[in-house]
Amino acid sequence: MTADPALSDLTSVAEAIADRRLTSVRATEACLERIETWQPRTNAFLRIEAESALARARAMDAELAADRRRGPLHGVPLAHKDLYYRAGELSTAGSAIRRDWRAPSTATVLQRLDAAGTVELGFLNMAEFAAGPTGHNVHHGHCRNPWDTQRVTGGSSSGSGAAVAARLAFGSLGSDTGGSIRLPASACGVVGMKATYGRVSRAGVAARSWTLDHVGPLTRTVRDNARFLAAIAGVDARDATCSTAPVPDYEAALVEGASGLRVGLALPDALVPVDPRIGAAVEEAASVLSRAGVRISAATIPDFTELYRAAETIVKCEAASMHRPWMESQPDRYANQVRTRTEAGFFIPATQYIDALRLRAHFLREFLATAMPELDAVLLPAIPFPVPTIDETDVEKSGGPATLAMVARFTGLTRPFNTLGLPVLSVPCGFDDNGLPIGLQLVGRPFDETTLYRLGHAYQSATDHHLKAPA
Amino acid sequence: MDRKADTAGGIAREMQGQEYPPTRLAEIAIEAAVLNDAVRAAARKRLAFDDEPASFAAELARLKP
Repeated sequence: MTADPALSDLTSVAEAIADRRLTSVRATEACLERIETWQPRTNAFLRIEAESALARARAMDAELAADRRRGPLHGVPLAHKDLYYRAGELSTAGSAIRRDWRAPSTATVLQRLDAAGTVELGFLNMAEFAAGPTGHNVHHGHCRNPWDTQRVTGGSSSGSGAAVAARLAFGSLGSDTGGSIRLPASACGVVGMKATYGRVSRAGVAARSWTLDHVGPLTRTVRDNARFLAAIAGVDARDATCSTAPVPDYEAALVEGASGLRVGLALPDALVPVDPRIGAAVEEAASVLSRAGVRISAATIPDFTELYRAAETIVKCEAASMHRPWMESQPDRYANQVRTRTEAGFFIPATQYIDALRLRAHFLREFLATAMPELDAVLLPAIPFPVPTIDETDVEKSGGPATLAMVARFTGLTRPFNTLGLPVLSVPCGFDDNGLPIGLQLVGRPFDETTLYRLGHAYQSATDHHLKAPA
Repeated sequence: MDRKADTAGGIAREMQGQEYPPTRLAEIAIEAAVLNDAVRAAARKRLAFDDEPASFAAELARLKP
């Protein structure tokens, strides 16, 4: 434990609370103190709920005093992307349209975190309706990277990345349709997990695309992430796409280490240009894993062009369908970049949309056969270029084609894995020449999050990138 | 207005009940054509009669290690 509890990681704080070395109230106060300092700089929060958080922390402390510990997250302060519903409470999805909307029910994942005894500090900034890879938000103000407030956080879970990196919360729920957990995790220097499609319930979560949305945690360490995912994963009668597969004890598996696991390194320059500094950081990560006993080889990534466009087809059609009433009645209440990204969905025939859905099983088999026939995971960059500034990536006045180009640049190496539904762990692996974090991705086999956590934990056991915090 | 933009304008007006400026229609026509062409090409190479969307979730479960 550090002197300032907010600077510790989730696991350390949870264990300190369990051992009565720290109260949940003190952990919550420490986060609120940092939020007071960092909120004006980062705009990470859309709503800070200090009073209810402290009341909840007091209740969790009282339960512990009565020898009742709910589990490994008992008393831990968290904050979540503002698209998770809580009955009767505001849930804006980062939009103007839902600025005053109150949710009719509570998201399954929030119910599970409630049952686990977590404390909710508030709700976090995000791209409007989860449609944007940078963290720009014209309605609620842009979210700013705590490492350099002139630079983007990545999106769409912008506040989640910023809040966890700045040590304002010990973890956060994000969501990922084309990279929205992994991009902010990479740009802000934290760990993000997009688990296998169906691993985590989407019930009570504002959708971007029902087919490609994934719910998952952002945390400071891999161990924290393993603990967090275990609390939210598993079958849910409210989400028919949720898998019935049992949830392993991810954290317990970390002791197995990574020795003997097989990882393929991919720097797919032919698909997406990879900046040399980013490529070098990912290659160095492969060397670190090799020294931990991991068998490193080269992975061949298939051409993602058709797969990427199938994903775009699915997102646009589903978004056009769900947004149609608002796009027709109040189009001016959307940011230009959100509206223009959706409009093409009205011009794609249903047969093409259905074919894109039918193709997913083929793409999945092809990827596993081509990229990882003898591998446990594939290692590649998350964002293949240094974190840009907010101004450099502002396409609000640039029109549709500029928006599409910007989105493609950010999501070229992330969106394909939403189409494939495979688990992907993003882990910080260095810093660029501007002092901004670099993130790697570890892609696993279906429902094999455990192997990714073992690899990520082995990597963090040998490196200290995740221990550095923005000043 | 080129032929694809003209077609897009017809779809917008006659099938979706929407109006767009010609310049925007031209952009949308290009974007939609790229996506439609890619999916059609991918489908031609891969899809058979018995492929259905739900097979994806079954495939994920089957490929679980």
